[in-house]
Amino acid sequence: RHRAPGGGCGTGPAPRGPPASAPPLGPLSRCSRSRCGLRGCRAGAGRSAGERGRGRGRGRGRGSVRGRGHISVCPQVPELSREEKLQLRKEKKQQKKKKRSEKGPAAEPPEQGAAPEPGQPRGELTPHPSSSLTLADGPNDGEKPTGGKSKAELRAERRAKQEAERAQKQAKKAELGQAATPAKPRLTPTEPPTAVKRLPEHVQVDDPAALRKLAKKLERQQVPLRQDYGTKVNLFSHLHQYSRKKPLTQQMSIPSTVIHPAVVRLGLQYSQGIINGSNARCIALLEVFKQLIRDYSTPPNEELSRDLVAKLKPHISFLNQCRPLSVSMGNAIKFLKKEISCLPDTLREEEAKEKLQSTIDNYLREKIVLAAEAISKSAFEKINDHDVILVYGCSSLVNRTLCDAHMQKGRAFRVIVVDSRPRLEGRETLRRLVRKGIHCTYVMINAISYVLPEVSKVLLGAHALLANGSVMSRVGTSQIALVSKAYNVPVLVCCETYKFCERVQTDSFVSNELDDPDDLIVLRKGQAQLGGWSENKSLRLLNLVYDVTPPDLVDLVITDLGMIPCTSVPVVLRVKNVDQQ
Amino acid sequence: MANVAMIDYTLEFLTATGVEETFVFCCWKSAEIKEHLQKSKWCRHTSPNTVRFVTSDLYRSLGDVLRDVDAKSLVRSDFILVTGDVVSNFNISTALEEHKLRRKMEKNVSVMTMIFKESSPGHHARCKEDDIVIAMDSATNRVLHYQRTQGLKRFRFPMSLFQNSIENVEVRHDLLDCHISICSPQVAELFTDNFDYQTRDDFVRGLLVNEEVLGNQIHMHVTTEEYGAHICNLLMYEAVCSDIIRRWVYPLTPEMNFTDDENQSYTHSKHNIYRGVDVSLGHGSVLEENVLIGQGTVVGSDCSITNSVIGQNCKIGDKVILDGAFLWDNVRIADNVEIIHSVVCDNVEVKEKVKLKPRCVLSSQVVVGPGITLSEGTVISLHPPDEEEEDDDQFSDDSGVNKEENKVKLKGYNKKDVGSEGKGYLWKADDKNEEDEEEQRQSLWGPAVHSEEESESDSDLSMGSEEPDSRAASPQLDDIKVFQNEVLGTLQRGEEENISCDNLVLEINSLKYAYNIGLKEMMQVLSKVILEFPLQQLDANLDSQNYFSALLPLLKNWTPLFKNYIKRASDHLNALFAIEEFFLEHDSLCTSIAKVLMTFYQLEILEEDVILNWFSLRDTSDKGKQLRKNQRLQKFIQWLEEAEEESSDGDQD
Amino acid sequence: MPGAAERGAELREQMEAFVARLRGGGGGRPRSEDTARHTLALLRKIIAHGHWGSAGELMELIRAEGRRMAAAQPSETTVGNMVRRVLKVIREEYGRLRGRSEESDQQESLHKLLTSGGLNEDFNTSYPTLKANVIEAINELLIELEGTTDNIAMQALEHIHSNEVIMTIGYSRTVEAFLKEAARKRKFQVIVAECAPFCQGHEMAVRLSKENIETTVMSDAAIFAVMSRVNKVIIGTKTILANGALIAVSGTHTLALAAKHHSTPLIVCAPMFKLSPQFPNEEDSFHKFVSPQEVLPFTEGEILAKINVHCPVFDYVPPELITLFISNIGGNAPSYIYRLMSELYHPDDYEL
Repeated sequence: RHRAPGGGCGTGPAPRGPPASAPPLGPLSRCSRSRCGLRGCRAGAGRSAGERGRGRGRGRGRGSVRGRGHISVCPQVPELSREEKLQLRKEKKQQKKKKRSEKGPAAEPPEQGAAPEPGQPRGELTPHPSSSLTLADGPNDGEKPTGGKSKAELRAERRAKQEAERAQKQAKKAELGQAATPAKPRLTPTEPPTAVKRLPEHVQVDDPAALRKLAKKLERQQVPLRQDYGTKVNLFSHLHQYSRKKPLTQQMSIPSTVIHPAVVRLGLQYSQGIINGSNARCIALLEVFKQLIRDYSTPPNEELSRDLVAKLKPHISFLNQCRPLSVSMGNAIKFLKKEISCLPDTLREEEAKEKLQSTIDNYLREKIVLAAEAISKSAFEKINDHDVILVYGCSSLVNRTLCDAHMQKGRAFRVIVVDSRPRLEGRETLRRLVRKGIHCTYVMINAISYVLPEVSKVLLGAHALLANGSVMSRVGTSQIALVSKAYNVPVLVCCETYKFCERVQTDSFVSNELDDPDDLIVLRKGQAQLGGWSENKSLRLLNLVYDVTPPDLVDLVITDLGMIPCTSVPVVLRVKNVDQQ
Repeated sequence: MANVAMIDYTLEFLTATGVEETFVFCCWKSAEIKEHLQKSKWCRHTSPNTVRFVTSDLYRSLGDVLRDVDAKSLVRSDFILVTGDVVSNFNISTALEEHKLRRKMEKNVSVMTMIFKESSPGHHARCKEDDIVIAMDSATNRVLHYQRTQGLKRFRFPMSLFQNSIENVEVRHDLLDCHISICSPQVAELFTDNFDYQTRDDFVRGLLVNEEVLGNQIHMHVTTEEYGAHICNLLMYEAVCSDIIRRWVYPLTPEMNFTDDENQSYTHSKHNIYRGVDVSLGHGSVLEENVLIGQGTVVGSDCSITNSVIGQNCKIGDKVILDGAFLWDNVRIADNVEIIHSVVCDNVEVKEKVKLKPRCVLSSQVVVGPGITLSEGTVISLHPPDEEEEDDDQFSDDSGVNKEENKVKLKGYNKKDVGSEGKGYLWKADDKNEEDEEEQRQSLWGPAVHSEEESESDSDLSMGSEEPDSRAASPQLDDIKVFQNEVLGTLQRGEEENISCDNLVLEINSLKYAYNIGLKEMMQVLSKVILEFPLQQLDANLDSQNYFSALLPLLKNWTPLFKNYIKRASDHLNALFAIEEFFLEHDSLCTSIAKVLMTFYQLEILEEDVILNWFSLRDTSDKGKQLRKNQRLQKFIQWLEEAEEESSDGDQD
Repeated sequence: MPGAAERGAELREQMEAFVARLRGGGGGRPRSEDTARHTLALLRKIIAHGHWGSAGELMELIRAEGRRMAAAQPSETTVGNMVRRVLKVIREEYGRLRGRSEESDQQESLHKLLTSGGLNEDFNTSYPTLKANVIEAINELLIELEGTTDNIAMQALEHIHSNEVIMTIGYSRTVEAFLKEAARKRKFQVIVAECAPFCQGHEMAVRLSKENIETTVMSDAAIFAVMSRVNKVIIGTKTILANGALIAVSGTHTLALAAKHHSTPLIVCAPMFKLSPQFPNEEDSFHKFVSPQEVLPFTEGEILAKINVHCPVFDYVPPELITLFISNIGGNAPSYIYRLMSELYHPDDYEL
């Protein structure tokens, strides 16, 4: 079922692709073209490879890829037993064999490369490592997720992947010539993912040109432009700073012309901080998109796979106006767009919509729910009896992990909940944990050096893991990591792999988010010191949302792929990239 | 309370908030209290707060005390009224300012400002027994309605609450009554005037009910930051104790040693562990958290103590487990004892391997064990069960003990209750007052610890409605019925022994408070009763003629009665509705309605315009319309209208 | 004489009031300087009206009262310090009357430090002029107190260069004066960590911005995130301990660690009377915990019964994180504190 796009994408849209759409893309289309050129021809590669008769190796490689592709696409049966999966792969190969008349022994090397590399992540993606299938990548792969990885293993693995990558690259380079043309049309749909490479507009507010561009774009999409609020700290003048009092919807005519009501509601919930935390935000987003798709109907002489993406754009930029997209959302959108654009044209509209919705469900289930399960499982053996665990803020993942450890494994440990103004999310954590009967202590973040001496582990959530291994998370996280280091307390970060992101960042300034400065105002003894701060032009309020923890302050990252040092984020990313082909 | 006498907390609070003179009223054990206070820092000459004693065994309630205050005219200015068990770090000043301001604005209207603490329901410092729902005018903080929630599933708010001119009324259930109230001197007077006020509740309710009559108002002040709670039962004792140890009452924390007595000095360390001077802790013993250990206490080895308070000079053996245990001074605990959420009073001895389940109370000098387990809620004291009448708190009583000693000779202890070497009696009442024993147990550990229906029954008991059937349905309705009968009875007696009306008023008032009847119901009941009154006498032959002739003298007699209750227009209307209702029921008599109304009018009970607009009311049942068709009535009304015109003419020239 | 009696009584009452105020956490945020002045005034009264014959008796009297006052609020170390200063004064005055010259005494105090308790003289001989002299000296002390903040502010320009970014935490009058002084000549910007839950930082920020210093308020959580752009940290403190460590408002330790991590210099502005000859101990005495109410409101309801909430007011900052102390007598490194200590107090008075 899945190889239809693989085959189709080469042939299907080939003649229809408007090459004219390439020029306006401007300078960036360089990278984009090259990148999706790559993809396009990677897609095409299979086919032409087949003709070239080096099909077997690549075929198997792709087969295996698809094997995982299969899991990620329709894991209504995510725990396929080993046999089943092998069975699956077999018949796939059969198909190929049938299709490809003659086979060449050319791509043996890629096979070694390709085969293990997809297998490995799949091994851990399946919630039950016991029943996880471990094919070419050796027996020890099964317990990898649980047992964590030694540096050596990781290095080896990485090398293996690089091998694989290079091999594929060369393979494609070869066909780039021919593949370019059939690849072009794929340009338009696959452009959005490349947008991640582009510098996002919400970190170049200080650049008038960028602003103008944004304004134009929004106007084109009939999305209102949200005004910044108050004076910004000049270190952060490149970021937006919105006021919660003035939500975007005020400037909108209700009912909105382009924006779906569900999206409007979601946007409000984002900007008012009702839906908070990257997981929650991502889930909410996808749910709304499902509704969007449900209510979507392709206009005549339009094609769903293209029109829908176009339709999504204004919504996305609307949400982005309400609150800058979280990395998790970014990834989810990227994924969705790819899925849409890969829809075979053969599908009828209902089928297509059905398919999309189920894909979204699977994404949610697999990337968030099952991932959380896997993480809390592997986090178990890091939590021992009589531990004193320090947590910060409110991370759904960390909460779940702790609750599981308490309820299921019946571990007896104490939790110290650290909180910080102005958000005071820790109180929510506190409520949840206490409700579960966990013994809790509550302190403000500036008292951590008082509690840390008794702490045995620090368990932190993350907003995103960046490619350079630094952890982006709620502001204060890095601080806790720092002090913990000073007290020699191990710092563990829990993060699902879908929050990993290609961006790199070394400080908390370049790409960050400013929350409503008014939140800092506090009423004590009936008087608010900062009352009229906006009148006072030499007084600024800084309400930072995220900060970046340098990798050397984090000892371990617990992901759904097991426990890794945060330096091996790029590896996981590469695996995922391959994974998503 | 955390090794300090409760009253010291109260006095400290008062002193800290700037009170300069305090009167301590005590009846029960006044001698000991006095002695204690004279030793304390309050009676030193440097103390900024001079403490005086007024002791009398006649004080049975707050009411008695305040009446005495009024009689002795002890206070001439505003004063603060607190119970002796209030623990608070509240700073009265702002509330006092508001109070003073209010009293300046409109002379002597606001008599009292009650202090409440904002704390959401379910907070452990909220005493189930006096949990309240309050309706307040959010603009002026005026208390409009005050009701205890205990045992009630449904609440009724008088309609007038929302009908009158106040723009926004807040109904709040997130308040904890600190039992601190700023009172004006009038309060004492009011207590004298209404002898039936016993508690502050009576006072508040009474004042609110006939607010218009007396023209007095009660206001409230809600604090969010400070702490304030009063200890009415052992649950509260436990709760407040743990709050003190968790420093909620800062600066009234143990290591502050505010009583300024040298063997009360503690050191505070992590996890809220407070150690007195030369406390010795055996090897392997752990004080987990929230523990207070008094001076000179010795703890054996391998003990685990958490959330507990241990008095001075206690001896605790090895392998003892204390969780939520409250040990007073000189307690001796042998090895392998386990005490959970219980109170152990002075000089108690607990032998080996004794287990105290939650909510046990060992009164002073009791000995239990060895090797027995006390089931939940056991209370053991040295008082032989047969004579435990009046004093419902002898678990905290050590004076009575010595006189018990000799009795001990003749009455042996029940070994299976207190163990082979035990001394003390299981506190169980004999069958006849089974219930009030239950009640007492609950008054020790408030109703919260009991299951639903228990607390229900208990609430009914405390509501004091005598006949059991009133428990079934929602209390108010029955109350009204009962009330009606009562009123009827009163009036009959009044009729027979022709008691003067103001006495009747008093009696009816007291009934009214007893059943917590609103003015409206009051009105209806009264008129109903009076109108039905003749029917009882001349039972069978219902002739409107002799009915009226029978009614007339009664009305004449009881005019003041009506006058007392019928004040506002709404009262008039209520009365009229009641009358109308009555005549609708007995339509045989409806011919005499005009006469009745006439009489009411002549007796100046009802005013003409009220009658008129009652008559002109359109939204009545067809029967009502029928009634209004009645030509005599028509005439009467006509006559009234003319009379009015005349009078208005009269005004003109 | 009758006057003495009632003056004595009145003095008692003042003492009680003072002790009570100390117990009650000083009412709001007590300013150390006021506490110091108050203590001195009281001690002076005691000297004036107390019954004592010789210097020895006087010192005993002062000790007794001092112990009582200091015990009332261990975190208010200034009280103890002032008592020590007074004792030292008495010793000096006595010495001078004994006809020992200033500088010899100076050296001797160092010598005493080495051989402490070596030669202890008896303070029994009573001098009529002693009282007058001591009171005179105490008045000088009081005058010295007046000047401290200004003296510290004086040195501002030596430490702040133009348009640098300075971070501070909470509210310290000394630091405020310091920065304002600097702002009169130089342009620079200040980042203030608000210091929850009391948020003294807000007041600080508002006051600074009034002098149009470009000020930024941020939550404590952002300290480390922003630290990388800061090039000086200037803070006040509650107490300087004998080993050069700080007892400062909670959050300072984090701040200091962050500064260390980015090797940003950490400067502490503190007048000499905050210098206390105590050493840190794990029993965290002279620590202070206020009501959890500050952190978690009562309205949280039932969960409050099940959890522990800590709200420490102070942090312990080890000396190795501190770059420089600026006191009213100039700048010193933490390693030099011991010397200042021995100059301020007499070694025998370290333990009251």
